[in-house]
Amino acid sequence: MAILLEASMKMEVTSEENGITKVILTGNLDIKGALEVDPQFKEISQTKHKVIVDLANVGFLASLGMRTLVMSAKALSANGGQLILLKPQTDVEKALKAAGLDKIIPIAPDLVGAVALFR
Amino acid sequence: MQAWHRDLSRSLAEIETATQWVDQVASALELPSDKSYALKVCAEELLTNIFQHAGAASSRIHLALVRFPDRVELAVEDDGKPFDVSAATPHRVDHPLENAQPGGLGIQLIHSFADRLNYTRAGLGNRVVAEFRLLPQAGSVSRAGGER
Repeated sequence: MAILLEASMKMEVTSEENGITKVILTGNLDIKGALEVDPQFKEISQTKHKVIVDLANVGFLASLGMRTLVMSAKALSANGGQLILLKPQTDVEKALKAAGLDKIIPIAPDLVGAVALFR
Repeated sequence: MQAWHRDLSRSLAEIETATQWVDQVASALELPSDKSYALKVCAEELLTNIFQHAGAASSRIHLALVRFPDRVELAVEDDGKPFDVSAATPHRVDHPLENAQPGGLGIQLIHSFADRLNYTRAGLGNRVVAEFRLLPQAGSVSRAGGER
């Protein structure tokens, strides 16, 4: 069987209204993907305040990807900021809930809902 | 019964390739998408665990996927330090956020997504079998449901 290797993760960062930063992830947040985006998440957590992570194009989320999200949420929270997760796919949301991340990081079904969740 | 096998070494690149292999075998077997996802989660987390914790002496990993009429089994063998993932205590992330420990969620995901786990000291050393039950296909008649 031929195996087609793909890059795990693409990450786009945009500035929205009201000082909100939107991080759009595309690909798989697996061990490789998490290692790829970790440095950028670290920088965003130290320099931004309100962050929305758009998971609509993330097809797979592993524990190391969750670690990246929790570390980022904790760093933002320590500086008075907040991280919101947006539109996870069904299986990804199931994984988030299985690990209990939905109890510590808000999940919104759409952008309007995500913006409204900021304290 | 259909069986697929793959040998790999303990490296990040090989883990990436192996999880993609699991994904492609699941597609070839035409598994339901939730079972395909569950297989991939367990493969990724079991292999990540070996990559991170099996010890420097560990070098070999063997994967097998076996399709039975009512289930799929993913067997992962490695020659690292003994570790019974089926007996490891799963834990969800603590809340509130300030108390949350970012790591250690892999065991929780494996226990959540596999329908059954079995660990033995066999094969290369550690052997974990994760089982995923399949619903009867449309048109098939189960003994329990089809007879009166």
